[in-house]
Amino acid sequence: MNLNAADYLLWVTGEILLVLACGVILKRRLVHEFPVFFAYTVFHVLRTVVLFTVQQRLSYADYFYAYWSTHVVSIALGFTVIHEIYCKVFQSYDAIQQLGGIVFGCVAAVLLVVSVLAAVSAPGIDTPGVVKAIVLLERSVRVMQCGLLMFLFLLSFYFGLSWRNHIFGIALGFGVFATIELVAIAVRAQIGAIANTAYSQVNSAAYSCGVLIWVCYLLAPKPAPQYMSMIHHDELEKWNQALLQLLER
Amino acid sequence: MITTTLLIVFAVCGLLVLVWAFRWRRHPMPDFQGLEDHTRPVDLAAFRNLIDPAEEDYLRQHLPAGKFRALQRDRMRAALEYVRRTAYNGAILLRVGEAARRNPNPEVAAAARELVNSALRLRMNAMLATVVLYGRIVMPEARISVGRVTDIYENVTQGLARLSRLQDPAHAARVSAAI
Repeated sequence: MNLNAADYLLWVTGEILLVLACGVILKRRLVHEFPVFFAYTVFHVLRTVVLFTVQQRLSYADYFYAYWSTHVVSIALGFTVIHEIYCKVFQSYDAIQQLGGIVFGCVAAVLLVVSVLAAVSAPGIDTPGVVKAIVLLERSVRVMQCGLLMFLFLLSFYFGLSWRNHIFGIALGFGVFATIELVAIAVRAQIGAIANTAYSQVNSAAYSCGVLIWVCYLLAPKPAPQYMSMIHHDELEKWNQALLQLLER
Repeated sequence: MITTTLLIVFAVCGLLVLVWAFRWRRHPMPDFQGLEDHTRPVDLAAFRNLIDPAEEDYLRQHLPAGKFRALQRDRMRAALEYVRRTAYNGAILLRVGEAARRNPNPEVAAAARELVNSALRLRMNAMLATVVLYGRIVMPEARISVGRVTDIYENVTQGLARLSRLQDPAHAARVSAAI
């Protein structure tokens, strides 16, 4: 397997940012708040180490199987992170607390049907069976991830739900990565194997963008609480006048 | 090619939603002082009258079928406008409640939590009521209940009154009158 300098650079950048994200989660004691997301980031760091070792020491076939088998775990973890986001967004509202899991399940089921239909009507990909299946699986996963996040953003806009900084950052990072990846995989499926290098680079760049967003939001300080002020300007003016009179005495 | 195009369009829509969510999140919270500038007035009695089944039965009995259908469509359109207004006000009050929820005074925080929950129920019921009302515009003779939007809206206004009484008793009446 031949990787050029750009491939390595993109790969390493994403992983350095991911290690940074893990560090920030630990330093800010956010592990209990986002256990699944933390597991996802740790898994990806470990996966990179394993894949890098396999790529350097073993054959391409070994790397291929190592990559795709860990990728399946990564996909499953990705969905559980989105489930965690749904639950966190809804859990602070008593009236819709139980809705997070239910909505996630319903939307995921609908999107699964859409993805299967999209896979059935896939264009003739000029790749062997295994790779074709992988491309279709990847595309279906991204359709589902994009759809789940889009629906959550639209739903929370409709209800006017407020998102805490970290949750919003995690969802935004995931969303950016999943949407760019979806475009890339759709184009890759259409063009075929000649687009492999470009696809892999766009994929890495999108991943790095997503992780960068996570790091930025995890590092951002908690916004100061905004209390609703009920004091009117005219009252403040009156108090000010009274204070001035008192001082003049 | 069609599948690819559809997927790209879907992904671009996804990116637009993300950009829009990012920008929307930076909008400032509405202030209590300017609440009346943000909310839309709702005449609750008139709204109740429009969706009152007894009123509908009376019109059904005393008007010819064609005229009843035309009148009922107009009434449902007017009711739809009220539902939109209540839903809009619900969204504003939800943000007002959100801000007060972080208040260090536990009594204020509890009242704000209650306001937030009522506003959420209002938004959910308004969504269902909108669907029902569109159905009733298409089929004016159908007897489908619009639900409890008016009752929930009343709860929300009471919740706002409670919250404003706790935070500024002198201006509670003015704040409640804003919706």
